[in-house]
Amino acid sequence: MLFSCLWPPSASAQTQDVAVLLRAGIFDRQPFHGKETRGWMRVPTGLDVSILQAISEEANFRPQIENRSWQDQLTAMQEGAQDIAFGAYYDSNRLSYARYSPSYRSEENALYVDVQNAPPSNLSDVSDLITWLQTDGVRLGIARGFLLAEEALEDFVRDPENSEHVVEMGDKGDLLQALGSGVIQAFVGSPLVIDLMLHNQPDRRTIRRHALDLGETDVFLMYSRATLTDKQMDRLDQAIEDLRTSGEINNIKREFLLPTFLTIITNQGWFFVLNMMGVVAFSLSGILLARKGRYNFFGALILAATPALGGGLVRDIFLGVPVSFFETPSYLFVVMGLVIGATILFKVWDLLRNRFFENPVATERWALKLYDHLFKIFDAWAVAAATIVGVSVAAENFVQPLWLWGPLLGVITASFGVILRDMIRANHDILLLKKDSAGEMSLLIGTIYSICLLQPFIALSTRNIFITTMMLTVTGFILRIVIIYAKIQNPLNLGNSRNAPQKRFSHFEKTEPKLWTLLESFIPESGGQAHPLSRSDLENQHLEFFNQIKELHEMFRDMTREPLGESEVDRLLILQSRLERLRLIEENLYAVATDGQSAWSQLDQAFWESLHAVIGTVATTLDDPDPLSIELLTNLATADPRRFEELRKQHRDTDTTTQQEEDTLQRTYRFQRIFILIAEYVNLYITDLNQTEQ
Amino acid sequence: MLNIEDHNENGTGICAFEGRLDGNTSEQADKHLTSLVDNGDVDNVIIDLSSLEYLSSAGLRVLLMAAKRAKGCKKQVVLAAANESVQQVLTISGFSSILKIFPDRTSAEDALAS
Repeated sequence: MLFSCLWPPSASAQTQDVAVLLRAGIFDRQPFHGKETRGWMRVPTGLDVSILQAISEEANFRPQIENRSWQDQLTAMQEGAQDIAFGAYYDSNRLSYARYSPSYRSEENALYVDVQNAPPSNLSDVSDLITWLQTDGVRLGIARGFLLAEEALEDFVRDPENSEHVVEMGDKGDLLQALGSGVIQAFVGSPLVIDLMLHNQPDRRTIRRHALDLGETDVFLMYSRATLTDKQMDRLDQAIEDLRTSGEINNIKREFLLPTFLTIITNQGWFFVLNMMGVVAFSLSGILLARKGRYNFFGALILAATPALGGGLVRDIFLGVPVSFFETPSYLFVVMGLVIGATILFKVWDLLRNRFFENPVATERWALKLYDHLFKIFDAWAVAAATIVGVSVAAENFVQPLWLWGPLLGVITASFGVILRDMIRANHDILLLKKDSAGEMSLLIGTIYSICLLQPFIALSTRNIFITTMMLTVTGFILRIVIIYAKIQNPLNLGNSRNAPQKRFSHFEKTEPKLWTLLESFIPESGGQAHPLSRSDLENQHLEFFNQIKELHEMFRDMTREPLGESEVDRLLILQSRLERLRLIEENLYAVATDGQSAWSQLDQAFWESLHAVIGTVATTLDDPDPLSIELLTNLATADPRRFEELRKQHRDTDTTTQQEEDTLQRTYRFQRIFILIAEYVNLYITDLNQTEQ
Repeated sequence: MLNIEDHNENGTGICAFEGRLDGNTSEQADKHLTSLVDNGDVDNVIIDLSSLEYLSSAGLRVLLMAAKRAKGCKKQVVLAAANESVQQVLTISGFSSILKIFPDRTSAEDALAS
């Protein structure tokens, strides 16, 4: 059925001469030319159609494109029924009825083979290819009318003596069919056309492009001498030159070829792996959160699936395209498989850990550290990969302008799933929107990637796009890892950095050793022995401690009224508990020091020496927390609390106790409480240290 | 007042304290223990407390520092023959959970040799 499509004359044409009708023909050869449905109409589309439109506007012509095969077009050109043909190779036989324009684009030549009948590995140039054709009795397919860029190969193909090695066919569909069925063993074609066809025919997976470089064929417009005057043809030639000089032709090429390249690339194995790794990474991050938050199986499934698939879902809804995981359910299967696997693994691990490990708490800490490192690495890869996938999908779907929508769809793919997940977790404080910088990083990487795809400094080819894609994915991954491990806070946070929670936590950490030193001063060592301060000095120190701790209490109280993040709330609770232990230690120390000041026994003395040494050790360690000191402090905190009971028992057993000795024994309970509180404090300190190290 | 005797016995450093290990004598004890632990010919150190009359908080911290230093160079510091009052301070402080304490020097030597 004949159809036509008319563009309105350009503004310049309306004000000058009436545009001259330019009759052209079209057949399906995507992405160069073909038809697409717009509304209820089938309209011409493709790179050549857009270039013809631009040339016509520039030269004040009005193209009218009719559906016509290539052979019919050549006949129509001879008969004067068509003025122009686009996408033509140079053929001197046509010069009698046609004139060629300057070349307006070129077409790569590529060799396609069936992997089941692949050529020898040493096929490195055209002469090797010809030798292979001749010696192995191989038949090479070629589309009728296709002009080979390599002269030697073109001569070989056109030589009647080689007819047994060459099979000419109607179009690329026939070539694919012939290669698949073994009629031919290889064919040469335009990779853009063939790769796109292979993408649409997944059953032809054994057909692969060979790495052999076969050059590029120039492509021209062909003017009919029967209908166009020399002046009109000159005007069209000039328009081509002008559009080339202004870069317009390159822009059109990029606009049309980029989505095609990306369609091809996003369907290649490596891109699928890249995407899948992002899905796995996001799923694992959700699973780890589910483990930490004690979610059930269904909860884990939701927490894993939301970040892994949610961003892509939102992106696809925005784009109005089929949801990617409906089309590729393997993504959903992977998420489900990971959740099932993780659930079994956690159950087995818990069983083994409690049965075979002497210290399950230490093992748990080790496991938590491992989870945390894995979480960070997976998160970094997922953010980088999802950003790149988002931009690619935007380009693939012709979203214009790409520099704007590419990065935005990249951010949506990388971030919206995580935001949804955190909303499901009822975490009112979504880190990604606060101190985290994943969103900004996505925007940055997405923008750079979009610019790289749009800018002419990277020639469009599947190889270059592959390199650019991988480089930016790895750059994004490394950048994210550095940001996470160097604990770089988002510099674009709108909050006042002076009262950031981290600053106030640091203030507490700096004050803590001073408080311990103050406690140590309650029991100074003089004359070779530790003694509590005199009553008046003790009251002064007691007041000083009260003032310092009051300020910290107020600081923490203010923080509890602020919308803190999940990790900040965790930290605040630990630090508040530490402060509370400190307060209780001081309270008990003050009480025991004011009790029986004039009647210290030998046992009292042993307690004072011990207490002074332990408090001093904590103060020194807090001031300079090297790993060995931390280890010693941890051991100190695990000292058996029953030692005090045994001590009291020994004293009661040995002799009849006097009132003074009984008072001392009563005081040992208070001493004991102080030691227990110190051990609790140390445990809180170690827990916090482990968490902040992560 | 603190008398210190130290020597190397087949790769085991022996340090015997006599008197009081407190704030007045801790620096002297620390120097001896540091040089013994740092000695390349010494694999482990036994601190003989049989003649130690008094162990103060400063003394406890000297012992702790020696243990920490030894751990840093994969050596071991153990205590031997503490009297009742010294043992009491070690127990109450919890330092007995960090430092191994043996009833006498021989049992300490045997334990280190095994």
